[in-house]
Amino acid sequence: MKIDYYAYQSGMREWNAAFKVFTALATLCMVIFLNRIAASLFVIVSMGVLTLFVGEIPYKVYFRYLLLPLSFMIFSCVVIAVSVGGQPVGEWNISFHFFYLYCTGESLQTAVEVFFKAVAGMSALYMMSFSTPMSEMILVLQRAHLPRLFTELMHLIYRYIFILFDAAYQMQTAAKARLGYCSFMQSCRTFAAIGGNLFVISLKKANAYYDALLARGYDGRLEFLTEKKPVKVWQVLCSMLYFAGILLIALERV
Amino acid sequence: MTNKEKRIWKVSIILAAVLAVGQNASAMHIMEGYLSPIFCVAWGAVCIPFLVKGFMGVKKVFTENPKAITLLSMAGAYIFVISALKIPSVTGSCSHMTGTGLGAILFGPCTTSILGIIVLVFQAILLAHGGLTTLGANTFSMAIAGPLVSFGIYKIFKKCNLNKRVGVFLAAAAGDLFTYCVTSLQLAIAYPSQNGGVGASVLEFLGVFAPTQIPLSIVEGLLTVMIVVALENYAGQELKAVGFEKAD
Repeated sequence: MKIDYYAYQSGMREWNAAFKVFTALATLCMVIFLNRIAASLFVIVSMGVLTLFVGEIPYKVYFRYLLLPLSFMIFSCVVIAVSVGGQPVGEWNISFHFFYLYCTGESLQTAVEVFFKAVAGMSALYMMSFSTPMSEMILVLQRAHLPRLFTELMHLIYRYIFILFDAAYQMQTAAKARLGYCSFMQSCRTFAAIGGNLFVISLKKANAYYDALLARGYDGRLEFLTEKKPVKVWQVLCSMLYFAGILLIALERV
Repeated sequence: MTNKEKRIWKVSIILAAVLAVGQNASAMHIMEGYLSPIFCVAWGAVCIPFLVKGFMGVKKVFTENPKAITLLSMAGAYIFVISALKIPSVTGSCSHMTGTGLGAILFGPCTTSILGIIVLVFQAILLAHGGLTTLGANTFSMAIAGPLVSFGIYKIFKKCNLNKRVGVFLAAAAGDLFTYCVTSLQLAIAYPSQNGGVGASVLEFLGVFAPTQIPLSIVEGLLTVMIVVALENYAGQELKAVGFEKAD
């Protein structure tokens, strides 16, 4: 949940939310459509610079988040690169007597492409999520005409997540103080007790919050005051140049 | 260092690398940018009928009882928090439940599909698990396929009057395993093996993720049973309110 905390402090907080979401999504789409290592590298570097220097996100935090899906990435890229088969085929192969592990130049290239594409996609996503608080993003979705009930659910779920996290944290502390995590079985029991209790708490709070909503005149629509953050001309120009840059780099060696 | 010592040293490094990397296992979210555009769109399209059905169900609940809005939101927040809490493990690693099996058992698969996609968006943006372009694929495996299997197994056990706790265990564990199989299939279709095609590729993906996913689904099954038992003991009233009846 640290991402949300940094999003509120970001140097790009004052930029228009819809503009940031659009830029990130457009970059994301270009990266996966073009599927070229050079373009992916350009996006990784540029989005990293934007998040780290304009957004002023601590670099330790940023790199820790970039490494988060590492295990998934390594496993699945290895599977793309290496295949199992009965015959020794491909440029490189290892014999295991019953079967062969082999790897062709083509599969290796796919794996590397996918790796960079995925990291580029993540850095574009992080540019958005490290600079735009969730509530502003939900308002962008609302502006994009997603069903009202859906965005309203998102708003409320987002708020309640913090309340439940707080409750869970208190219960975990209480359990720790009573040696609730002293052995594996005990920690399972503690986890289940917390899970059960959390459910009871969430339902109780749901009732209380509905009363609170009614008391403030809730009639099926949540309304929020929003700050106006107009898109600046230089931002639009920069993003146009940026998209053109990605295209140029990708198409250069065709 | 002697040769033998060197070899032990090397093996220990490899072991540490492999185990440490394998440890940070959450449910299998396909990461951002991993799928090519065709598959992003295709899996998103597959989800649409389920989501529309789920949305209509939620809307009906909401028009009948406006009070359900806070209840449903709390349910969504509950699934998110349960899936973000670290589950106990022997090695001190960091793994998480999917929580959607529990959601399907408590709230039904339709509601879970809508809550699931919202939770997946939050997981992508707030926790960096999964992504926006892979949202369709992840929604299908985690918020639709898994919960449907969980709910089906749970219902069958209830209809046949079999042991309810075994039913809950199997429902949660099988839902998790099915999610893992569907994700492997999604990855394999996107990146088929050159000689063996999709079939060989599915087996490879299944094999690579099995060591983390199979124990995880068993643990998830056990924890879900324990949570349901705790709920039956302490929250009979609340369970009735969400439509989950007591066994005895």
